[in-house]
Parts: sequence; C-alpha cells; structure tokens
Amino acid sequence: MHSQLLRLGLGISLLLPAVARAQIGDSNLRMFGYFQTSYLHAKDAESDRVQKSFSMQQLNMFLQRDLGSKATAFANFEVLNNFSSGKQWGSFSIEEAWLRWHFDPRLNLRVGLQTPTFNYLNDIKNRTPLLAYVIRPLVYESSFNEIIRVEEYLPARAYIQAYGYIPKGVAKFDYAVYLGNSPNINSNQEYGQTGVDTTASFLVGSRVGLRAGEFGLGVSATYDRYDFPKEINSLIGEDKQKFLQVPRVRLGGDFRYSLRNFSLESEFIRVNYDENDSDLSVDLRFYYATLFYEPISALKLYASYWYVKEEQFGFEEEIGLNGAYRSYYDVDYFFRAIGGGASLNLDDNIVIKLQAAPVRQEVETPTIHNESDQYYFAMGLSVVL
Amino acid sequence: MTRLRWTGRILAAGLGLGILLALLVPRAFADSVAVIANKSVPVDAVDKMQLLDIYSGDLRNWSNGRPIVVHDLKINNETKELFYRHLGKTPSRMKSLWLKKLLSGEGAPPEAVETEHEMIERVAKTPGAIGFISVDSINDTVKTLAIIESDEKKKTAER
Repeated sequence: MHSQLLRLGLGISLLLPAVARAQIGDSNLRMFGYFQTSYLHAKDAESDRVQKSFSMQQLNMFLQRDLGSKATAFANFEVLNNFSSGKQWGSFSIEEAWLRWHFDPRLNLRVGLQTPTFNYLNDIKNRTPLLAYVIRPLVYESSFNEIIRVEEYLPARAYIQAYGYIPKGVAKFDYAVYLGNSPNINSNQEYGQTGVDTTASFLVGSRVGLRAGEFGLGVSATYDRYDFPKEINSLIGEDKQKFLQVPRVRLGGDFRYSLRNFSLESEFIRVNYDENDSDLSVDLRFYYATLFYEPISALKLYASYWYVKEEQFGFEEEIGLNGAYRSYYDVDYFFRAIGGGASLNLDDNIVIKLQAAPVRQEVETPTIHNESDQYYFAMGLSVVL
Repeated sequence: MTRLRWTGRILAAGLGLGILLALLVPRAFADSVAVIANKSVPVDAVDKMQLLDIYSGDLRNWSNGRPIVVHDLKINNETKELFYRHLGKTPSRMKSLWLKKLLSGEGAPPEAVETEHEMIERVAKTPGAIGFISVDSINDTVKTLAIIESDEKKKTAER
C-alpha cells in the first residue's frame, strides 16, 4: 500500500511540472484520446434469455510531452463501463504513466507504469479505434472477466522495458525485455484490501519478432510467481503453501501477413502453472485467427475464430470427525466462437463497427457435463478525440 | 442452426458487396513523384527502405541528430497513391500505422497539408522536413532525394 502511494506520488510529481509549464503556454503538451460506445445483444440458445445493453465501453485520455529530442513522457487514463463513482459503476484507472528515452531505433527505454509487449495485440488491446472488433478476441476482452480470467493469460503491467529493432536487409528483428510485478487480484473484502496486490511477486518477460514488409511474426514469454486467490488459501489450511508463489510460465506466438486487400492475424497463448503437486493441474490455452478483407480503404470485413481450453482444478471441503477433508478434481473448460463483422471508417477519427458470433461453452468435471450456446451481436462506435 | 446459416448469409452478402465496391472504384496513378526535403537535410538520396522507415515512424532522426519532420497530403490524389504504392502500402494502412504510433505514445502522424504547393512551401522552410510532390511541381527551394516512376512510365521509357 505504501509503495503504491509512493508510486502514485512520484507519477503525479512527474506530471505536475509538465502541466504547470503547459499553462505557461510554451509547451508541446498534447492531449488526445478516444472513446468507444457499444450495444451488445446476447441470446442463450437453450433458454432464449436475451440480454440487451448499451454501454460507454471505454474512454481513454492521453497526455504526452516531448522532453527534448530523445525523451517523451506519456500518461494514459482509462474509464470503463459507464464509470460513475456515485453509482459505483465501472472503473477509472491510470493505465500508463511512463518516461521513454529514444536512444536509437535499436534501443528505447521506458520507465514507469506501462503495458508490456506480449504477442501483437497486448500493446494495443485497449486502443479501440485501431481494432475492427467490438468484442476483442476473448482473452483481450477485459469486460468479459466473468467468463474468463483474462489477467491469467496476459501480463498486465511492467515498470521498466527496453525495446527496439535491429534492421537486417529488408527485415527487422524486434525485441522487448521487461520487468514488473505479478499482480494478484483479490475481490473479496473478507480477505483484506480488494484490488490488485502488486507486492506479491516479480515478473520478467520478453518478445522477439521478425518483420519484413507485410509479414510479421513473434514469440513471447513471461515468468512470474502467482498466489492463488486468498479464498482458496484460507480453505486449504495446512496445505496453503502449495498455492502461494506458484511458478507460472506464459508462452505466446503471433503471426501477421497481408497480401493485396487481404490480411491474416493469428495468435496463440499457453499458460502453465507448476503447482508442486501432481494431483493438481492448471493448463490454459488460447488461440485466435482473423482473416480481414478490405474491398475499399475505409471498409474492413472479417471472419474470426477464437478457441479457449482450460484444464483447471476444483476442490470440495467436507467436515469429518478428524477435521476438514478436501478432495480435488479436474475441471475442463472449453470456449469456441466463430464469427465475423465489419468496420467502416467514416473519416480518420470515426469508426463504426458490427460484429456477430455464435459462441459455444462446455464445462466438464468428473460428475458434471454442461454445454451451452449463445449468440452475440454487437455494434460499436469508436471516436478519436 | 438456422441462426448459424443466417450469420453465414450476412457475411457472404457483405463480402459480395465489398468485392463489387472494389471493382467499381476507379484507380489512377501519377506518372512520377519526387521525394523532396529541406536543404538542411544531411543526405542527397533516400532509397525505398529508408523512406518506408521514415514514413512509418521507425526512423525519427537524420544522421546529424535533427528530428525528421514528415509531411503528407491530406487528399487522396494520384501523387499520394503512387508514393505509398511504391512503399508497398495503401494510404489507409499507413493511417492505421500512424494512429497506432500515436495512441501508443510512440510518435505523431505526419504533418498533413492541403496541396502540393503548400507541401513545397512547408518543406522549404522547415528544417529536417521531408515530403513528396508530383515531378512537375519541383522547384529549387527544396532538395530532391528520389524520383518514383509509375510502372506505366517505366514501360514507356523501355520502349
């Protein structure tokens, strides 16, 4: 908590002089941003239950200032889901606040709160005007946190990152190396302060990639240690050490290629936990591929396939004569969406989006097998401010 | 299953409409485009790869450390089409690239000007500036770094 306050204080103290100078009128401080508002229509195939909702999905405001020819300061404030502090809806957060030194195309150094480079989409997953999607490929869709724990698949924060590219003929070799914390999210007030605990552990990650013309691919990896939710720890009792500081490895791969009016982008992510216990197994896999077609420069049509497969564990607790008895069992989760959509740029600043996808979910335990189908239809409007 | 079929039909109809639109849009290209720069720029020529690096924001400084001030035309005319086609990009793909740089805090889009006349004026008086115009518009207030010729013009020259 103290370190968070200290970081916030440091961030504000870095920004204040810039704002003060901006008011004097000699500054190159730039303020810009975007918002996306959307309509989502979801129908359950079996029960015919329909959910319809409009929302101000996201609003981001940026402050950017060049400090000489080599350094840039950048701050990103993000507002989600109809944010209202009075009604306790949505969220407001400082997503990024960093200082970058651009020594050379081969070496940039960013220090401060930032989104780390992992695969292709992670950097830009929240830059809605850049994306044709209303609903992003599942693990990049933070508003679907109830369906899938997106923070397990992607590194959310880094605090120092070196990156750049090394040219070699027509090709460029990209690299990024970063350090950060391993956030553990507690949403239950019974177990202390809610929110993201960034003091628990340490994260190291990297991406290396190759670009050549309209072709690009990359490989990403992170290593950190993860505390399973405190609700589990408290129930586990004497075994709780098995659920603290569990080593976690994320591996990712990304691929992009464009040919004339067509382009293909695809990614996979695999997350594996080393639980120090052969009885427990957690293995997460995500894959998506999208084929885009641009008949005219302002219009993008696409077809997309998303796939998630999770091997998780559940546990049951029974109180017996000798105290608490727990048994673990495997939980398999499967998600698949095959859909498509369109995005139309009305001009450089306004994008209209449509998206439709039938979705299938399956949950399997030793005693239960659930299958469900939903149909999603979404419309979005993204505006650069 | 019915809904799946309808989703497929809607996507197919959209794709068909898109292809029709693409066929109906006329395309024309200029004969030749000149890449121009401010006279303070420390190079006398640029190749295709360097131009792409400059216009995609990967290369931000000249060899003497001075920032590169990139210029673009606001309107989509034949000159602009030929210039970006030479770089292997469409104007819309370049815009996406610039927007990505902007929203990631990695750079700003080029300075956009209304006309080629304004492009020459701005490049002539802005240290470190680079831009492009049709060859017919070149004058001695700027430095010419490259001439880009259309395929049609190259074929005519070969004959």
